[in-house]
Amino acid sequence: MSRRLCQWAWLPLLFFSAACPVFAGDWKTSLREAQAKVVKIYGAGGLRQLEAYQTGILISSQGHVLTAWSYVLDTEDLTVVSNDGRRWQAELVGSDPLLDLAVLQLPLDGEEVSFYDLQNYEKQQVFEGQRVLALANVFGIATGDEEVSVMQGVVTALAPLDARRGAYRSRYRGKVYVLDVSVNNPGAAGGALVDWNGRLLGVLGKELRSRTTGTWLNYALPMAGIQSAIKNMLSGDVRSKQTNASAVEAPLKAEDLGLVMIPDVLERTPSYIDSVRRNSSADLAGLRVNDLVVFVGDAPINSCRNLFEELLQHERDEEITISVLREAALLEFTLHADDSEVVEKATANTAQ
Amino acid sequence: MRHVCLIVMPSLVFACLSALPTQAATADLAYLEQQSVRAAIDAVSDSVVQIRTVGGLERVEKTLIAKGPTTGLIVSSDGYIVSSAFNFAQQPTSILVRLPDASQVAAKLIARDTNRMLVLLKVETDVQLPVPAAVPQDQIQVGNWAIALGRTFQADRVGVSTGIISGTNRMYGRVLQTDASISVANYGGPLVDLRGMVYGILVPMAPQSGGKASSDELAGAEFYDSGIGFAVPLEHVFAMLPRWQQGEDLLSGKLGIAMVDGNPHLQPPKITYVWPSSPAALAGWQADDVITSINHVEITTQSQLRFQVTPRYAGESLLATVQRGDQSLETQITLAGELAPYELPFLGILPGRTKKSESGKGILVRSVWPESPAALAGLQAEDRLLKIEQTPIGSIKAAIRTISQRQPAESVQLTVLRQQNEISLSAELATLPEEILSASALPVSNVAIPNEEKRSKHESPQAQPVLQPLKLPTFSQESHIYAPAFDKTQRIGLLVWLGKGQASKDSLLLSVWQEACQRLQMALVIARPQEDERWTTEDLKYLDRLVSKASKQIAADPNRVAIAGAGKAGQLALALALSKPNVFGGAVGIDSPLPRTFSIPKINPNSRVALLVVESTNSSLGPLIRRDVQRLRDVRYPVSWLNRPPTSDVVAKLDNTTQEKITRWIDSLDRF
Repeated sequence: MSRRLCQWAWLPLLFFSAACPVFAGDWKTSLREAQAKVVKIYGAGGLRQLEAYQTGILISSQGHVLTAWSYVLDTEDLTVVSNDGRRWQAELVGSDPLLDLAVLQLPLDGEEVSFYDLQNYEKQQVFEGQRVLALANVFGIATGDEEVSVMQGVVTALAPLDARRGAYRSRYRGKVYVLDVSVNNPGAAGGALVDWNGRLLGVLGKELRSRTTGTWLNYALPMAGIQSAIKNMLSGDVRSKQTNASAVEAPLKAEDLGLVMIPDVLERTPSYIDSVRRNSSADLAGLRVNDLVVFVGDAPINSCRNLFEELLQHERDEEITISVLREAALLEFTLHADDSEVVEKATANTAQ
Repeated sequence: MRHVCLIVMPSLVFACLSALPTQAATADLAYLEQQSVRAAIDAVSDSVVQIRTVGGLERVEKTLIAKGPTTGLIVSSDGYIVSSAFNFAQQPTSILVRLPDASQVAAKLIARDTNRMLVLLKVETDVQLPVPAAVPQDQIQVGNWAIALGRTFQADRVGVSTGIISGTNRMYGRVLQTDASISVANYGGPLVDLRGMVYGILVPMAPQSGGKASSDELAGAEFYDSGIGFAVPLEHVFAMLPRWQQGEDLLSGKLGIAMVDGNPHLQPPKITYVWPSSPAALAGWQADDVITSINHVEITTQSQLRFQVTPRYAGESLLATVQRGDQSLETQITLAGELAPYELPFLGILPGRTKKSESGKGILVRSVWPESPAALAGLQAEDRLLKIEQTPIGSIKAAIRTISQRQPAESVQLTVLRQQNEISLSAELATLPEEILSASALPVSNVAIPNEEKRSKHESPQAQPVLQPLKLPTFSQESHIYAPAFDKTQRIGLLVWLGKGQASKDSLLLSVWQEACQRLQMALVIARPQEDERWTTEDLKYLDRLVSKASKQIAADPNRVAIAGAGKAGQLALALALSKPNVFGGAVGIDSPLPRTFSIPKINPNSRVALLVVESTNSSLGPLIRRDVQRLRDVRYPVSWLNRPPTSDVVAKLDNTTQEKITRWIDSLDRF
C-alpha cells in the first residue's frame, strides 16, 4: 500500500511543472521524464553496417510506439525495451513509407507506461538557435534498464528535406528540423527531439546525406507535420511504397517550349539557350539566344541536365516561370507550352 | 489512504513552492540566454546573403561539389560581399546573390585571397546594404559564445549552429577556431558573438594545405563534424578591403629560402638555400644566415618564423635581422607572391663512376658534353675536377650541390688537374640540357665490357640471366629484379620498368634491356601492379617502397635511378619521380600524359629529376602529352621528347632506335 501511495504522490508535482511557463521547472526532471517515454527497439539486421537496433517513442497508454520505418522492423521477433528494463514483443500496426515512419504496439496487459499524449498535442514554436535535446539509443549503447542517451544542441533550420541515401533521393520533401546535434548515427532513427522542458518537438529521421551541402544531415521530422500520418498508422494503414509517387502525367520538355539548349557535353553544361524556335512560347515570352537559365519557378538551375530534369517535374499544360541571366540582369518570363501550339496552328492556317 | 493524501499534498505544494526561487533563476538565465542568441542572430542575418552558382565542375579532385546554395557576408554598403573560396572551387560560369530584399542579382568575382581562402564578390545595387560590425580582435577570448550562420537550407532564414571560440591565432596566426558545426552549410557565413557583432568569416582550412594548387580550396572541409572549424577575423578583412577592392588577388607572401631539415619547433631558422631573384636574394640573404628577428619580434625556431610570415601577403615589407657569422645584419625584405621558377644549372661534365674517391684528387671527367660550358672552357675527358670556385669537390653529390647553389649565366672558376698540372678554367653556367646525345658523343664505358668478359670467364658458366623475385611484406604481388654482374668498383644504376604484369612480357622486357644493363652497369626491376595487368594510383605506395628496397639492395646511385612505363604505368612513373626527386634521377613516360589532377611540384634545388617523354606518332594522346611537356618546361623541368614509329603494343615493340635513345638518355642522367 505504501508503494501505491508513492506512485500517486508525485502526481501533483507533475501537474505543477506542466503548468509552469516556458523554461520553468527543473529541466533535469523534465529530461528524466522524457527519457522514460523513449524505448529501445531490437529487430532485424546485424550485418555489415546494418545495425539491428533503433529507437522509438511511446505515444499512447495502449503501448503504441512511434519509430522509423526501416529494415530493423522487418522481423517477427521485434523486441522493445523500456527505460526500466521491461521488455515486450512488439507488433507492427501501421507504416508510412513516404515519411519513413511506423507505429508498433506493445502487449501491455494493463501495465503502465509513460507516454507522449498526442491526442492533446500542442504545436510548439521552434526557432533557429533554440536549444533542444535529442534522446536516442545511438550506437546501441543503452541496454536493459538503461535510459537512452541524451544529446544537446540547437535547431539550425526548419527547411524542406532535400537529401539522398546513397545515390537515391529521399522521397519525403516536406519541412524538417535541421539540427546542430549529432544524431546522424546508427540507432538514432525513431528517437525523440524535445525542448528543454521535455516537450516533444519531433522524431529523429534515418541516416541521410543532404543534397544541398553534400554532408551528413542531422534532422528530425516535426510532430506538427506528422500528426495525420500517425492517425492513419494507428488505424492500421500499411501503405505500399509504390502508391506514393505522384507521377507527372505529361511531363514538360524543353522542346515543348521551343527551347534548344547548347549541346550537353559537360557534366555541368551551363544552361545557355542555343536557339529559340520561332513563334514558340519561349519566343513569344521573350527568351533569347545566349540567355542563361538560372531558375524554373523557385528551383535553381545550374546545368542543362538539371534544367531538363526540373522541366519533367511539371505538367506540359502548366504555366511556368523561367528566370534567365542576360548581360548580368536577372529577367523573369512566364511561359505556357500550349501557347506555341496555338500559334503554330494559327500560322499553319494562314499558310494554307 | 485519503487521509494520508491530504497530509501529503500540502507538504508537496510547499516543497514545490520553496524550490521555485532557484528554479526561476535558472529558468530566467536559460530564457535570457535564448533571447540573446536570437537577438544576435537577428542583428546580423540581413548581412548574410545566399549565393547560387551556375555551371562549373561537378567534381574537384575526388570531391563531389554539392549543388546547393552557399553563403556570403556583406562587407560594404555598396555591394562588396566576402565568401569562402570553397564555394567557388568548381569555377562557376555565373554567380547569383540573393540580397536582403529577396532580389536576385548577378555578382562578379573581383579577387581572391589565397592565403586565407576567401573570395571578394561585387553586386550592383542602388540600396544601401547592411554591413555588420567586427569584434575587435583583442576582445576575442577563448570560451566566448560563438554563433555560426549560413543561408543554405532556406533563402529567407539563416541556419544556426552554436558553440564557443576554441582558439585564436590558429593556422600560424590567420584564423580563429570554434567548436560550432562549420560545414558547407555555413562556409562564407559569419561567426557571431552574443552582441550581434561578427568575429569572422567561416572557412575550411587544413594544417597541411600549403603549396597544393587546386585542392587548396577544399582542404579541411572533411573536418565538418569534428568540433573544429575556422573563421578569418572580419577586422582583418576590413583592413585588407581597400587593397582587395582594386581587384588584386591577395597572395601568400614568400621569402624564397630553404631552411635546415628537422622539427620546425626546434630547428633554428638557418638558411640552406636562397632562391635566385627571390625576396631573400634581393635582401642580400645568403646560405648559412640565421634569421633572428622579424619586425622586432625575436625568432629562435622555424615555426616562430612561420607565425610572423604566414599571415602576411605578397607585397608587404618586413624588417628582418639575420645573423651571419658574428655579424648581425638589419635587412628589409618585401614578400613575393610567386617565386621565379628555379632553373637547373649545367656545367657539362659526365663524371666517372668509380666508387672510391681518391681524397684530394677531385672527380674524374668521363666525358665533356659537346658545346657545354665545360667544353667551351676547354675541359677535357680524363681531367679531374678539383674545385668549383673555392669549394673542393670530393664527390658527384658535392659537385651537383655546389652547382645548384648558382644559376644559369653565372660564371664559375674551375680548378682542374690535368696530367699532374693544376689549371684554372672559367665557365659560364648554362641550363640542364634536354637533348639526347648521339652515340658518338657518349663515351663507351671502359669498364662494363671487360667486366662482362671477366664474368663469362671466371664466374658461373650459366649464360642465361635470371629474374630474381622481389617481394615486399604486406603487398601481394611479386616483382622481379635482374642484376648483371657488377664491377664492384663502379657506381650502379637502376631502371625500374612498370611491366604488364605477365611473365611472358617480363622476359621480353628483359631481353630488350639485358645488354644495356650490362653495358651501363645497372639493375633492372620489372614491377607488377597489385591488380592483374592494370596500374592504378593505388600502386604508387607500392612502387615507392619497391624502389627504395631495390636501391638499397644494389646500393644504387640516386642520380642514376630511372623509372619507366607506358600508358597508365608511365603516368605513375612520371608522377612518382616528380614527387620524389631525391629518390629518382629520371622518369620515362611512353604515350603517357601526366595524371589528370596531378599538380606539378616546384623544382627542388637540392634534388633534380629529368624527364623523358616518348610519343608514338599514332598516339591519340599526342596533344595532351605535348601540353604537359610545355607545362613541365614552363616550370623549368628538363624534358626530353622522343617521337617513335606508330605502334600497337607498347612494350613488346619497343623498336631498337627508341630503345637505344632511351638507353643513352639514362646513361647521361648523372651529368652536371
